[in-house]
Amino acid sequence: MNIKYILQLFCLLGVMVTVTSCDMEQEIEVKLPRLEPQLVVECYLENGKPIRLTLSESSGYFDAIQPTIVDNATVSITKNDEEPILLTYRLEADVKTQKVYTYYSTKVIRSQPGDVYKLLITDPKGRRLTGTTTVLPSIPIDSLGYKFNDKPDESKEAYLLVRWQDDPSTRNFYRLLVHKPDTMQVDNVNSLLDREITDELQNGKKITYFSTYRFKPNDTLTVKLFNAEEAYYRFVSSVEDARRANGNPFAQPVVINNTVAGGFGVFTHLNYSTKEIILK
Amino acid sequence: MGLSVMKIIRIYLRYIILSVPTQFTMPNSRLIQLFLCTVLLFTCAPVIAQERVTLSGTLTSAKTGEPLIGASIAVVGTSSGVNTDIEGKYSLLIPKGNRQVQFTYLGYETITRELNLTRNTTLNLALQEADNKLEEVVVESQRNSFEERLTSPQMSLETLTTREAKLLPALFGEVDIIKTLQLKPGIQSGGEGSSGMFVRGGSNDQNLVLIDNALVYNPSHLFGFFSVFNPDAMQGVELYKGGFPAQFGGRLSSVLDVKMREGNKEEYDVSGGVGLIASRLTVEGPIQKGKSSFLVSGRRTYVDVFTRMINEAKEGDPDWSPIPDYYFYDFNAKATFDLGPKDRLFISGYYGRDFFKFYDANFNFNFNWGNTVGSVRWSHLFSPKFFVNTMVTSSSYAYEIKNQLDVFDFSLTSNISDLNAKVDFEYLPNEQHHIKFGSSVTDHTFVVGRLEAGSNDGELSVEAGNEYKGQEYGAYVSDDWTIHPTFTLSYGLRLSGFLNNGNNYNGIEPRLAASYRLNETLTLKGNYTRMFQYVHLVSNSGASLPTDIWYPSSPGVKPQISDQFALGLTKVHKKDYLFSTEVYYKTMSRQLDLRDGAQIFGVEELEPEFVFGTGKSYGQEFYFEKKGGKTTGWIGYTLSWTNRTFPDINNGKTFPARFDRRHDISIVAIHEWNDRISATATFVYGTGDAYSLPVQRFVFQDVPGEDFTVIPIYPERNSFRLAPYHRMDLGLVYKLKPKRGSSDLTFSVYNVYNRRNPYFVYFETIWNEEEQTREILGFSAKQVSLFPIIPSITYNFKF
Repeated sequence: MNIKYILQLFCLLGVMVTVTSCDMEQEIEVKLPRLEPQLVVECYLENGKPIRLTLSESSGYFDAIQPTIVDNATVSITKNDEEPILLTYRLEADVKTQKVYTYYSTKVIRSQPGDVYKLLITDPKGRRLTGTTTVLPSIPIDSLGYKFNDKPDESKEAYLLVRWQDDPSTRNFYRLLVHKPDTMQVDNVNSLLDREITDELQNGKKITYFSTYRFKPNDTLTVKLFNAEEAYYRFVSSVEDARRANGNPFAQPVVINNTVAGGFGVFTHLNYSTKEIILK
Repeated sequence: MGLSVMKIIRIYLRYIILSVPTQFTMPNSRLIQLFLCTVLLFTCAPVIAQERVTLSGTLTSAKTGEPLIGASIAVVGTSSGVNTDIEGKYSLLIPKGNRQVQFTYLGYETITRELNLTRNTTLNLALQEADNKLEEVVVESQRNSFEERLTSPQMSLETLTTREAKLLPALFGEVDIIKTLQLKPGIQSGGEGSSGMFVRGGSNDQNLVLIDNALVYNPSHLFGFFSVFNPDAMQGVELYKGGFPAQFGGRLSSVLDVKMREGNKEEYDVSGGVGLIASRLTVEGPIQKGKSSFLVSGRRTYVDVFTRMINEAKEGDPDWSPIPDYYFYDFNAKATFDLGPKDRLFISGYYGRDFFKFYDANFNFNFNWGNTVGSVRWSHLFSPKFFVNTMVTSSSYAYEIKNQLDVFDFSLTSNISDLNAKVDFEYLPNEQHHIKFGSSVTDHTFVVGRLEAGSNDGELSVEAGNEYKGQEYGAYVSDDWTIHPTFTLSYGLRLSGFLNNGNNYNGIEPRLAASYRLNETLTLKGNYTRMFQYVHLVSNSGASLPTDIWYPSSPGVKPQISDQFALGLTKVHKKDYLFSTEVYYKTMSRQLDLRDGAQIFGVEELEPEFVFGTGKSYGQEFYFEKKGGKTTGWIGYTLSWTNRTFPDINNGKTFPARFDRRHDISIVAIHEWNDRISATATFVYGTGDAYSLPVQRFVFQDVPGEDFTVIPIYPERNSFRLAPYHRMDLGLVYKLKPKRGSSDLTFSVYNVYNRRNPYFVYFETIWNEEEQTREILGFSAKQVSLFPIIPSITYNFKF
């Protein structure tokens, strides 16, 4: 065999590569087994607000997109050892926050740290979902800070500093959200920053959280610091992990740490403080 | 589960009966009896032994003084024969009297000696290189090497020389002995292009990787795509998949014993290669001619040179996000001294680092990792029958991630460093026994997840991480006992232990192997081994990543244990064809994994994140090889099952390991066209990896101000299969004729028919692009592949 022919062959292969190497991703068909739908609940209690709850069902991953509302369940919430509050079915969409609720009670919650709320859901199919949450004190944000980098004005960005005092007597779990005040509008409902933080290495200390350079001059930022129950923290973290694991070949599959038993989802009391800052 | 172990064994027994020649055919029950009551049977076997003597010595290259690995020594007119080991040594039992002994090594002149053997004899020979032979071509082609496979009780062993590996096509033209080993049965890669090794259902961290007797903790570069073994500096490798000799301990699933070349004792040589992504250079020569030598070898990748140029050209472009810098380099060095006829001294070292850098105006991210390994070995002969190797080795692996943002600094480091001393004795008291004994002690220091975050104004100061100490020790004795010319028993015991902070863990590790030669061309072998592993790799991913952490045994993390049984049959046909098959059954206890959602960075204690379980694997390997002639090669096939059971994973239900591969086929063919051109082809096929996919989903709305998310529900671990993996590679070595020295062009085509092999699968959300609101239209499954067809060319030289 002549070396010339070999080289020609390799040139040809080189051309083939440039032609074919672009489609490294392709759609495939995956057959998934059918599993029974399970109850999915989402309920956030807040001091001074009425109770609203969303109850739905899980569906097959490739099922058609359609509402999976459960409208025939019995839903009750009990505060401490008081009489259970019965929630009634009413489909309601909050256009401003783009949230859908299916069960409600007009009763406004009055809660203080230490109060315990219990959730019980049963339905005609015999499914039973339970959850418990304990009210925690909100933890005030001490101060906010920021610093701009030295890029030219049009591409200048700032990082944000959030400082608060950790409670040394307990393990604390925090969720930190940063919004623009106008983010409650349609098509812009997502936070600029969402972090789950523990006091594992900083118990009892003044905690300083700093972001990367990501905020623009003249941004007005609303910072919300949630003092979360461990179960809620684990739920939000596992949701975040699951979102990131899809498409990551190195990640293990994530099991969602639900705060409820007998289904999926979350039942918690929100305890947060807010502070606002304008980046000048 | 399909086929059960018993079924495999039944198939296996049926197969043995079919392969045994008629004169050996016997009822099934007799066959089982044969295997179980071997000793009894063989003491009754007819005594055909004559009085015999030992012929031993070392074979070297006359040109370079380096030992010849796998050279064959055969007694003409008999079936006696043996191969040199990884140090060029051989030892052979021969009936007394006048014998003609032949020493052959491919590419070298054959030497035939008339010997009058009346007592044990030492014969060291230097073989001359043959003229006009293609040095790099033909796989370790000593036809008689098959003879050793028939006589030795050792089974589950794969031997490979760098010369073999260099012939075969390679990804980006970068020759890698680990990837060549993956073409042997029972050894699986960790995925496309990966140099990870999963041996008989063991995890990637259960391989004892040694380079010149020193441990290598992380034998891979570039997130596993390349191994740390620079082919120019390596002589060869032995991989034990089972039947572990008693001198090895500390890992459950395999021993990978890599030997570095010693360098040319006679003259100076410079050799190297220029490839698509990396270049290599090796300098070697005598320190004192004929007596001592040195070898220094280095290589570096240079893709970063081009990416940096692109980044510089695009500087100032606001839309350009810089390509991170990546490169690795490694160095090997070795010096060998003949201190006298009875003493040799070896000093060798390895140093390698990978660098991953990302810089922009505000953000600096630096990630580097690598191994540092060194060893000193003194080999002393008390007599030809009694010798000793004394070694001191050191090994360390470290990674560091540094991150800087304005006044804030963040760094995360983990490392393990070992200092080891070891002594190995070998004693051949008579022609029937080969006794080995020795001991080893290792001092480990583990720094686990040291995190430091701080600011220069003192506002932030966070520290985490732990340091642990541990001492690992072992002592062993073993004997290869030739009870009868047709029956050899190898039995040994290793006592091992680990001391951590006053806590002591001990293990008794029996090692047993036997071989019975059914006839001139057929041998039946079996073995049982128990292994202990005292250090554990904590990995938060399915792959081998540089951030995986080594962790010592402790009250909460007990040593891992494995038991392996194997039964095998070796058949040689017409001296050129080898057929072997082995069936194995392995159990592993105290396997470590991380609980779901575990955090391994920035936590005070890692142990709460661990969960423990068991592993099991079984299967059968088939291997057919042809040596001699212009066309050589092999076909390997493995049928296997590998699973894990963890009470805290998958609701306690047994699940297949990700690398559980029902069928694994590899075909390697090498054809020597003429003395200048050789062509090679490899084909691999494997059942798709076990994989977890979500089956259901639900919508999580989150609190007001947050967007909704679609949450996947994974009902079971690894319950899906990726599409089967198959690929063909072609290679061609074309020897040039330069005025001085030698050189060649090596062409490789990876994935010739451009198959889209699955690397992973994910579910994509299809959004409605037209509407203002965020609306999901549906979901689809996407398969991602890594490498299309990749041709490459490498220029290699030596002068």
